[in-house]
Amino acid sequence: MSQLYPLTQILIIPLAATPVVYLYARKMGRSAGYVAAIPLAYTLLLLLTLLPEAAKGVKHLESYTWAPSIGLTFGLLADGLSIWMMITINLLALLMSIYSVRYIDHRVKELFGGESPSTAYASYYALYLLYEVGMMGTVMSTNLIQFYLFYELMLVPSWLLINNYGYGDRERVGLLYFLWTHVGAVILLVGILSTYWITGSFEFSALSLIAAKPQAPFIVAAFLIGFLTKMAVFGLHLWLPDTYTQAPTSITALLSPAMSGIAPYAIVRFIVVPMYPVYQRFQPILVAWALITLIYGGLMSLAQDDVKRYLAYSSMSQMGYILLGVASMSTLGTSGAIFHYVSHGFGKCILFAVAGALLYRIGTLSISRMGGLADRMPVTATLTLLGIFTIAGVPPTSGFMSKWMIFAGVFDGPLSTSLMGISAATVILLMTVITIAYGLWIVKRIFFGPLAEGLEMVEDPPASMEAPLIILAVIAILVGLYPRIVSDCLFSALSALHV
Amino acid sequence: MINIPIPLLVLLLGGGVLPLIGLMAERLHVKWLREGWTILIQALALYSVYPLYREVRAAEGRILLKYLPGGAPPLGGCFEIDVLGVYMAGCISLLALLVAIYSTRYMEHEGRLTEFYTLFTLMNAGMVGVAMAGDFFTLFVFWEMMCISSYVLVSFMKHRPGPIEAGFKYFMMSATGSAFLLLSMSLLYGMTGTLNFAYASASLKAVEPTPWLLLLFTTLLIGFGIKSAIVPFHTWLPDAHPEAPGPISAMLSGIVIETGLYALTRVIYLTFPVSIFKPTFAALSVVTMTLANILALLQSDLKRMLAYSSISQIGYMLVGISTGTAYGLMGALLHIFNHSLMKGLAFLCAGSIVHQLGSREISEMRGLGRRMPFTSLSLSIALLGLGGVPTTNGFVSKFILFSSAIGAGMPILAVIGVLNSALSMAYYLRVIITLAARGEASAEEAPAIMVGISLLMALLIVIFGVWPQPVIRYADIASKCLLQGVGRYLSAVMGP
Repeated sequence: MSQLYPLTQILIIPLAATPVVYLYARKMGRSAGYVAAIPLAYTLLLLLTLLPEAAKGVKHLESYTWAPSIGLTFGLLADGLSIWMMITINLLALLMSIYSVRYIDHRVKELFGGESPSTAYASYYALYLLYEVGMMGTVMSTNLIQFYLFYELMLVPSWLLINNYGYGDRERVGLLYFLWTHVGAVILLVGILSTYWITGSFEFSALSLIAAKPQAPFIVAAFLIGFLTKMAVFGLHLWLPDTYTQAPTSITALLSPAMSGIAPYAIVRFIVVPMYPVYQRFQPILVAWALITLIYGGLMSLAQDDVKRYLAYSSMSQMGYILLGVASMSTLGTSGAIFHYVSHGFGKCILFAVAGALLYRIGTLSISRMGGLADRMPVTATLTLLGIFTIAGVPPTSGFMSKWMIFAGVFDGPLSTSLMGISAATVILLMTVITIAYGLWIVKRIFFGPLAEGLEMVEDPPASMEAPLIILAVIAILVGLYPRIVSDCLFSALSALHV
Repeated sequence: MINIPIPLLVLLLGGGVLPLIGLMAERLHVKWLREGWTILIQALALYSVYPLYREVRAAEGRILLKYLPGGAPPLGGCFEIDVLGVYMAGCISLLALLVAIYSTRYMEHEGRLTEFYTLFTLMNAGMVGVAMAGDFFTLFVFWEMMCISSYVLVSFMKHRPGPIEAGFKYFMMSATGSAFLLLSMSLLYGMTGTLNFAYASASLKAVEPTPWLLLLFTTLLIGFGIKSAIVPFHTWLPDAHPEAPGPISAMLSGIVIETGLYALTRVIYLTFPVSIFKPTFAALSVVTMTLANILALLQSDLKRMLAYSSISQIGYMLVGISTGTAYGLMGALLHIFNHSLMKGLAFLCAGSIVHQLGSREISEMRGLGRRMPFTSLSLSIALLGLGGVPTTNGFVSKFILFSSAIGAGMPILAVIGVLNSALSMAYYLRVIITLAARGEASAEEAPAIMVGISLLMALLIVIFGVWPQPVIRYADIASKCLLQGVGRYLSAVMGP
């Protein structure tokens, strides 16, 4: 396969498909979602062919020269650390494009009334594909400027999608989202530029040269601010609840599970692996920050009435877990964090999509106006339960494995030698109870109890909205039953961290 | 024979003949004659830049000397053409050609077009002359040619009070700037006995700073600073640029103020050591970009907002210039080229919108994205570029600029720069949001030529954003020739 440049294809094919999909949608309207799925399905297949190699620890690299006089190359990398990130993003994008067909049709009709211009579909799917390319490019990058390029490239289409298709005061929310993450990104850029002047190169491989330099803590801090803004940890999260709530649901289902999780991946790639000793100094702050985020997100989600807002805070709390895994500084914990990104991706994508389905069928997201829907929407109810289980870490879903790895990492790793480590571990164990509680409580309120007024005629959403979610749920369980396909890749890439 | 570089000669002759051509066109009722002539002149000027580049590359020390009648330096005037001058001439001619083509439709319903095209051509001739001047006197002559043409062009729509007022303000401030330049010329002449850059450089570069030298520095800074709209000398710009006709706004913001910055850079780098101007320029850049970005945020008039954005972009360029390194200069030069495309395009699109909609208020543009899709798309690309979003050329040059600040040991400047850049996204996005929103704005898409030029420039912005290497290469050579070529410069003029 390697002579066919699979990674280049993964990047180029959806990009090249963008105008095709645009023109198709201009003619054919909503069914363009199926067309947009074709290139994504193809790239997913390509990724799966790379999987066996990655599990053995083989790196797949393709590189090109870009602008040599300012030290830029253009490289694409797939290794054990990134392969599952890519698979998750690609899978979610593929399934959500099918889900979008009915969902965005509904949204466009809501926005424009009967006439619903075909350009609305066209620009949705074109931006959607660009967004996917941005995310994939970010994960595949081999140098910092290229990373930044894609990091920003995923921002612009997602902002436009929120701005054009979102709910509520979507323009203000879109701007909030853009500016917060953009400011984070430019601070990241300062860090990137500083590394250039120390190492003379933008390559990831040069990052390890910084570790011994006096400027290293500042650079790590700049990186961390950039990434933690994207991750929306406590204090940098102000954009998150509104954005996730007002974005069109099919996009939120990518924003939260796929995009914000790129930040912990980048932390591992940029900081943990190459600059381990410097990173150690930041560990206490990160652990504390992760715990605050985790608790705050969990408690806030208990207090929400809007399903998407609830899910938004629950995402924040899950990002706390992932950050804790990254902060544990052990192979197991770090692998667990990336693994949890995958599980959270599956689970949260299902849940957001379910929220979209509720909106599609009921027209409201207010929990207090729902109840007893399990009889009316049995499939949706089952999917919600599976989604909650995946996030909360109930066996046999993949969430159990990933959370177990995080916990094991936290107890086992360098954290456990200190009092702080023990208390952190205790707190997160207690917090799992809250995670389960807020998960099951919402299921009870939406799907059980007496049927709420006016919902007698509600039924499950159409098959094109359900099928993608069922596939995701099945994959989540399969990965949970056979976690080695994920963990082998991660261990092969991160074994160097073993302490 | 008068020894003038070809692009300049083409522009001067072409501009000089234009009144006759215009007269012919009017008398004989030949349509498109003067428009066609203007485009031809601009195209020839652009085309002749490359042979000139080859000539410069082939010349000894990569400096081409062309003496004007009246004797050789240190007293006589001359052109000293190096890669930097050619680079600027290329930037100027490219934008001028695009704008000339655009103007044919934009201006077609106006009167006094012969006047318009003549002034337009002479303004470009002035800029190319400034780019190639080898001594202060020649520079000043072409400088005034550029300035005077632009005063008239700003107030070209003289049936309305706005342009007259703006033009007058521009004229008063710019004339004050020119007076300061004259003062600095006399100081320079008094100190060194020459106006030739090379000779002045030889006698001043290594000298300890004296109060007189600082006075010279200050007068130069004020003189050129007014033209290039460095805060606090910027007050004329937000009035003049919006009131000018669309294509002229594009020229003014796209390249005229950058020509001022170029002249400042050239003179300062040749005559002063880096340590004198580094802190001043760094401070000015911070003030310029911060103030301009905040003020831009408050504007409700699209063209006025773009005008403030031009000031802030000058601030970014100053970051690169303040570093005193070849890398920073390269960033500034690259940004001059990229900005000429981006801001040129933004003003052309704003011009199209004004042309079709009849209003400059951003709030009245709601829903324009559906009515004028191509113009809106081009404008959005230009604005994203100005905000420095990757895959546009604006990102490449901004990243080099901020990177150079870190490299020169000014990380705080880089942080202020990127935060400014992030802040500036707020007002760029506001326009894009307004265009994309649903609303009642009723207008038709602009004429094909105007749309075509907009789309072409948008395409160039993306192409140079993804593949910046060709421009970087020239900007790199140009920056090195200013910084490291001083010795060659001197020996070329003064002999070994």
